[in-house]
Amino acid sequence: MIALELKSISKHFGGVTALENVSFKLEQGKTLGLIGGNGSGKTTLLNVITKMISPNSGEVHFKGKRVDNLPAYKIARLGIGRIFQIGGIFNNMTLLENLFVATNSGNEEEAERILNEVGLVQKKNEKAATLSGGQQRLLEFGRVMIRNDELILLDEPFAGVSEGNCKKIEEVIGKLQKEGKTIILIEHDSKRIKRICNQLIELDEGKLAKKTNID
Amino acid sequence: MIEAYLLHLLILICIYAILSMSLTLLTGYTGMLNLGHAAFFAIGAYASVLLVMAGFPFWLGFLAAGGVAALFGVLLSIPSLRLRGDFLAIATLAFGEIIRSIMLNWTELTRGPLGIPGIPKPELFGIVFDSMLTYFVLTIVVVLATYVVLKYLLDGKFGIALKAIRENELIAESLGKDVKMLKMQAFAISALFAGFAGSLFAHYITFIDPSSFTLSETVLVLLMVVLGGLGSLVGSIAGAIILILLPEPLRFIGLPSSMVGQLRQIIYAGLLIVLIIKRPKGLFGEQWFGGIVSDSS
Repeated sequence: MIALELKSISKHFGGVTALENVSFKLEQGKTLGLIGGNGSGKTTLLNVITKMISPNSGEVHFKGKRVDNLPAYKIARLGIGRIFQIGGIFNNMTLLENLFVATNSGNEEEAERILNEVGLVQKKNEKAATLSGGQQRLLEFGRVMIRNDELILLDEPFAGVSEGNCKKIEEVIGKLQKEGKTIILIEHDSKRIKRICNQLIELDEGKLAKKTNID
Repeated sequence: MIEAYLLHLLILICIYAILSMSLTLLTGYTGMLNLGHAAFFAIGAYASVLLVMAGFPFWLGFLAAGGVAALFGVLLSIPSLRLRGDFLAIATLAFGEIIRSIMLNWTELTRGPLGIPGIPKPELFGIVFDSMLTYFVLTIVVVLATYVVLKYLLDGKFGIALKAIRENELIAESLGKDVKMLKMQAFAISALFAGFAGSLFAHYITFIDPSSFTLSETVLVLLMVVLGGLGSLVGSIAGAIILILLPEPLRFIGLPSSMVGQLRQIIYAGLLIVLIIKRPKGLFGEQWFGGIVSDSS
């Protein structure tokens, strides 16, 4: 089954072309690596999928349903989760509260179980601002896990993260893959990307330059 | 005599505690700086007084005070949804001034600067709240009800969603929060309780005119919220108690009354300076006030 399909997406910022006629399909349960130089449109692509920006033309389909005409919060409710490049957590809220924003249940046991899985349970009542960069990413992973998102967009989750936390993040991604989640990963380390991903797409100045399958 | 004076202070504390709790929902929790809060207070006061003086019972006037204020809260939220930080503050400031101008100039309805005198004391279930003590009981009941309702709302997922909006709207939206709807609800609930406070104020003082609802009134309530700490209901109540009681000793040191008013402003200003240096998060607060004004995210 196709989880995500992009149909000739284009986005311009003034005279700058961020994305031009990008189309691809992503099967459910696969992990797609998104590579390309700075300014090649990787983050813009994720922004288009989550409707944080609207494309100038093209369509986004999630599980066969067109979603680019929906507001961002409704797209999120369909089960599309995201981990941000910077500043993705609520600094002045506790770890538990950070998870409660993501779920409507307010179930503390469930939240603690998730925090345990990402290795942060002992800090559950501390402000998220006290976490290190890598721990903040792990908290974001906790949020997509508690939401049970089906499509998870990861914007350089390993950037600026210590080796130990990188291992932990890779472990968490592995767990999500086993659960059958569909993942898009932006990453620069080619070894790591080959280890994690099934497919690769290279963007070059907003155009889809290359598509590869990794076995 | 001294008893009446103390009860007067307690009643004022109650009315301002409702106001400051209602403002902290919007400013402390949701991070929206509202410089027009006195307008909701005023709308509640006028709505209640006009209805009661037209012959309707007090309970209807009281409920209408909240309802009409909440309606204006929703109206103000619509243009405000696209604004953040200082831009939002300017829009709400303008709203407060517009409401004050309407009160001054729509003389057929409000008698303009002459004000409305002879407002009757409230009557509920056959009890007339015309003594200081009974009025205090009435206001403290409303304070407790306000606290319980707001505490319930803000400790639950609604409160957590509002805090998430304060921290970062975009992230909150990416987690499925309908940010516009939540902001609108925050405005409505905040205005609702400010409207109730307006009704209690008008029927206590028994005279209202537009000069009771100026920007300095909003600033006083905002000071209570900041002093108590953003995002804390208990803090808001503590802020109201401190700022109502603080200037009172000035009455007893024999200064001319023209100086007392000025000194009061100096005390407020001095307190704010000490607060920012010594305890920027307020007495019970979670976040520095500057964070919501300069936040560009």
